[in-house]
Amino acid sequence: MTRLLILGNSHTGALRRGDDAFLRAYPGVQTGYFAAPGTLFLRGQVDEAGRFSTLAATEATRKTLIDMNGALDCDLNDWDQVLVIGHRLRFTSVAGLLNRHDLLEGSRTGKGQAISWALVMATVQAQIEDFLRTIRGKFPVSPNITFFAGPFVASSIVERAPSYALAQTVVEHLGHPDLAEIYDWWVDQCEAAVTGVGFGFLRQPDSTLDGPGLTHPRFAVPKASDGTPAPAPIDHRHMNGDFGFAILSAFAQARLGLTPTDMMNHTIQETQQ
Amino acid sequence: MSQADGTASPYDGLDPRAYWRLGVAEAGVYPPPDLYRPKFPLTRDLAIMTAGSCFAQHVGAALRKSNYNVIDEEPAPNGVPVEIARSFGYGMYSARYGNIYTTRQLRQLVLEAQGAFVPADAIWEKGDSFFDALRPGVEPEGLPSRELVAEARSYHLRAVARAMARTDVLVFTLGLTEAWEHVDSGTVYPTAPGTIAGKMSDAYRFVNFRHAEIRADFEAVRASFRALNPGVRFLLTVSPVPLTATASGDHVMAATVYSKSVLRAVAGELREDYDDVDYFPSYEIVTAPISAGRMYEKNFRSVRSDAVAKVMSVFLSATAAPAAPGPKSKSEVAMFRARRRAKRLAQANAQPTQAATPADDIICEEQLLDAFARP
Repeated sequence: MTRLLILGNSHTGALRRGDDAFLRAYPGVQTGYFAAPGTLFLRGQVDEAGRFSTLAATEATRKTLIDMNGALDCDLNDWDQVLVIGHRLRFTSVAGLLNRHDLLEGSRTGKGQAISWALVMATVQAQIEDFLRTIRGKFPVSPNITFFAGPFVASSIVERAPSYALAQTVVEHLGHPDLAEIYDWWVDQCEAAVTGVGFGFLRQPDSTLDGPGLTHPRFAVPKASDGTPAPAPIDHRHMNGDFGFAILSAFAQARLGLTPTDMMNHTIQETQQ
Repeated sequence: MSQADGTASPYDGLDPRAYWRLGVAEAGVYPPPDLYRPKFPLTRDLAIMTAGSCFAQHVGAALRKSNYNVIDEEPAPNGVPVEIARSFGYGMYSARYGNIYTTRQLRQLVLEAQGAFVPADAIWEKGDSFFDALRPGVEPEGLPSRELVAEARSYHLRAVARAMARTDVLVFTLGLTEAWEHVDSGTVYPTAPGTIAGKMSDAYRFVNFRHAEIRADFEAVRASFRALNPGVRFLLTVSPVPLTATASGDHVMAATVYSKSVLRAVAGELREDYDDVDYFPSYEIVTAPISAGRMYEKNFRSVRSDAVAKVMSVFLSATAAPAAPGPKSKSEVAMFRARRRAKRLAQANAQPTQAATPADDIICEEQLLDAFARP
């Protein structure tokens, strides 16, 4: 039995929603979760004794952590593997380089300006170094601590352009002919860098993608209902249980070398509910 | 001024700023007050184009930090860290032309952007890479083909043309008189062939531009800008950074003084001759005897960051509004208040300016010449 802790921010919810199906498909894995909202998670770190905790300065944040996890911290020593979701390498910031520029060594789409591949490489290198500096300062280096590269925003986020900046930036580089090649190179670089320092790295599975660095909209969840009968709008950044199942499965296969017992019986089809 | 006994001197009764003792030696502060009286105000609604030798980067940085409308027609994409952007020539000036050390180089760029000049031998090689000889530092590793260098330059020239068309004030720092030129065409380059890329050969020769040539080059630049905007104004400075090396055959100290003297003389004449040309004495602030070299780093070449802050503080406090003699009217009181506000702003910005562009971070290809100096 492999004990797997999923540690992260609000995106942990997708994995939690896919947990039952995952456990049926991979009965050799036991899972546990510790989550903290947004910046509260990002402020957290592992101490010398191996306990992850975050700066819960107020009674309200402490209550939030207790309500979500039953505890204010968690001991990583209790787990064989840790999958971290929330410390992300953002491809949108790399893709955004092509919002107003073409790639000099690539295709022309009439942007009117061009940047060199060397500038893209230097920018990505800086992004990766910044990421490594962050995670090395917060987690003990171990191949049993794996960082998940996603989740990427759903491609349907373009519906929110131009009023939402993230959506607008996706609109501006969406469909750029050089983006796929840049994405493939970028994810290779990320994996090589993260594993190079001794951590594990998990790519977002191709089956969940809808283009370079974008999640397929079928995985996006409705926003939390406000109680009105109208259909809730889509939360293009948070994903459903199918997505969570896909990520956990990818981890089990890529990092634990497991195969599912019966995939057909364990897909939860949350999007059709 | 006239006195009954007929012994009046034309130097009697002048402002304290006219006397070395009162204006400098016993002024009590340095840089001395009232050092610079701008010919025209530099208001925040004016579109400012900056260019020049490496010291000019400080001017642009200080203006941007003080929320002046500094043109950037060739910005880096969002998401590129500032230090990386700068190493690729972004954010240094109003377009990605890198340092412009000589007035001839500026003249070439202005004319090329207007389709009136085609540089010769404009692409240099190093290993398998190709470099824009007119701005060899903007792609640190070069580009993989000549065609891409040419295409990148065409994007750049369009940006320069856009910047020129918008410019209300050109701030230009004169840096050097020495350059290397292509023998057959006269095209000059910001660096000697072989420094960043290219290869030295008989196709190039050393040139030390003379006063008349520099003046004529600037007048050609002025004419190009005025053709686009007759109301455009020009603010000149002379870089206080000594030459890293000279190819003149003279001692580098003598060559430096000669070069800076020529540039200072040209700037002074242009200021006297044209109402739309002004000169800011940053060179004097750094090099004056009273500073006794204390404004330089230990190498007596790089200007200390605190000195840069002092220079820019004088500049920003003075340029907020023009000095005006005579009795104080309401508008002058308002102007005084504006200057006081600008001074406070400049003082407040002095430290951040250093932080944003410390002297060590200034990109100066000329420093590469140090690599060629034998111990």
